[in-house]
Amino acid sequence: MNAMLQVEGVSKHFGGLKALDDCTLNVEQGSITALIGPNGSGKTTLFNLITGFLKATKGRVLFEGREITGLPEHRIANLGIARTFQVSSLFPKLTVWENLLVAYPDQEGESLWSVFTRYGSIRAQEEQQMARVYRSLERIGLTQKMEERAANLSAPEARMLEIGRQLMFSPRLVLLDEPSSGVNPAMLDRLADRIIELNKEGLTFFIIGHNLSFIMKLSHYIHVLHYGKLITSGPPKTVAQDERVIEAYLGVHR
Amino acid sequence: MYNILLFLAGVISLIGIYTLLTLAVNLHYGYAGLLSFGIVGFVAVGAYTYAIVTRGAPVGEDVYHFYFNQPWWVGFLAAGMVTTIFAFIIGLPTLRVQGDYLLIVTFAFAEVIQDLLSNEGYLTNGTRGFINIHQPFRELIPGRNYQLFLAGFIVVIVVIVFLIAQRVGTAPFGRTLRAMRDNEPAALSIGKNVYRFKMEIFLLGAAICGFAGAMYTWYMTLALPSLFGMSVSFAAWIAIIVGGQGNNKGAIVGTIVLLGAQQALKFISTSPELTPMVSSFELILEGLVLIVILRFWPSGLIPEKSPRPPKLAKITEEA
Repeated sequence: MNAMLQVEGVSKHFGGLKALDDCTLNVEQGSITALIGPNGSGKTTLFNLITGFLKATKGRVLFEGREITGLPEHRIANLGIARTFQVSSLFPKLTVWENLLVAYPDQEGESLWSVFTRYGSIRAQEEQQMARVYRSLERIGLTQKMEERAANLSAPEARMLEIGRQLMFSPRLVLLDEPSSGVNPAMLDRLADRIIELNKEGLTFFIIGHNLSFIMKLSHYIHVLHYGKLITSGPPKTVAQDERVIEAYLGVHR
Repeated sequence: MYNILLFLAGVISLIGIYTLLTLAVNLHYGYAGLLSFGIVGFVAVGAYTYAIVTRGAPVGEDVYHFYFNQPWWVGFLAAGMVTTIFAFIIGLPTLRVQGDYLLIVTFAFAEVIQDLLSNEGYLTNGTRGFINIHQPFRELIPGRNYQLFLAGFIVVIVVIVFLIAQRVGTAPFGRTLRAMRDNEPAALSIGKNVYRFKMEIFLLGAAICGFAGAMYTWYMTLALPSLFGMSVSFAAWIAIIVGGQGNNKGAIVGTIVLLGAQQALKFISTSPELTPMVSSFELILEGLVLIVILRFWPSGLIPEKSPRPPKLAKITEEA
């Protein structure tokens, strides 16, 4: 196993607040790695730093050995890192199928020039991509609702659509920010199965979670953040028994 | 009868020109969510570019130094190109910031342009402006019949621009614009270079305004600084809100409703004392139309329509 994502000594200060303090961790290729920690411990901040939505105060981030610190958001995404957001982030006025189709990378019809000059080949490409959209719709169980606007979906449906959309551009690493929030228990099992399935197909996951049973079941490796510091890392069983983790979550003093 | 025909031709020309502006606002705001209020600035740049490029040597009290004596089509193309270059310079810094800032900057841009028009006499002939603008095919169609021809010519251009806007809106390019408008962080997270998309649509809309500016000088046969006040931008914005954002047909309907209502007022024959009252009623009417539409059709007369998924020939069954 080798590290797909390396976070090296990353800090993020908002004024006097140290949201992340000298954080170093790896995500192994082919793993399902989790990032846990109490509210406000800097989990989402770390995701935003990795994906370029925030700029780090210090430190660097490497993806597949290449430094990606400071690259713009869309460039990082195009390197193969997909992310979801804490609150499902869809295109509300677009239909469900459009939400999926729009995520296709490098569409010929996205250049203003070829819109007018390459009518035929754009059409052919759209049909090809639509075939994949239909498969994705079936997997996320939204075939019936494909012509609804995304704004009309329920919370679990929105979550599934968001994850489905981020998979459309064939990423190699997927960062899921609280995938379990807003999802009912039945749907959650389905989501977990799907993540395991995709992982077996070779996709690497890095997941933020509050739902600890979901995380413990799923992940191979866990990083724990507390007040912006990495307090421990390890396989689920070790982490669950680690005193520092229990203290961070329950606030027990020895 | 002939007089009514001429009046109608004038109304159609004016509505046609404004339709272009509304289509441009729709591309900027309706599809891409850009609050671009300064479109009248682009119209002015287009109009004056056309005037300067087609102008002959100054006579009498004219103070301008630059003239190129070119045929109308050179002026027309130059109007679009120069406006696009202006838009590029404006967009370079401003499209990187979010929302309201673009509104403020484009608003200021339009105001600055209007001031420049009256003050930079060597270029724009100052407040005298340009009169006797060179109209296309004028020498072939003498007399009042030209009004009818011009209306037809403008309609043809509007149809072409409408088809371009439709194609842009329904193509994958337009879909990405709408996605970006709805949720910019999500668009970034699927690897869309939001800045490039904004710039491209900003330039396209500005170019349309530039052409419309040239056409406005054909219609008015003059170019004066006072013609390019903020009310032009407001009219196009009201028209798009009336017609419906994100829908090119809405842009046309909105412009017809708004300008049709304005022009209908001109039909009301009144005594000379009442004329100023009726013309000031135009502004009240603009506001009234807007309030009524927002009350009963909050998303416009023709709201954004979700496209149908592209048909699959045979793949559907296997997939």
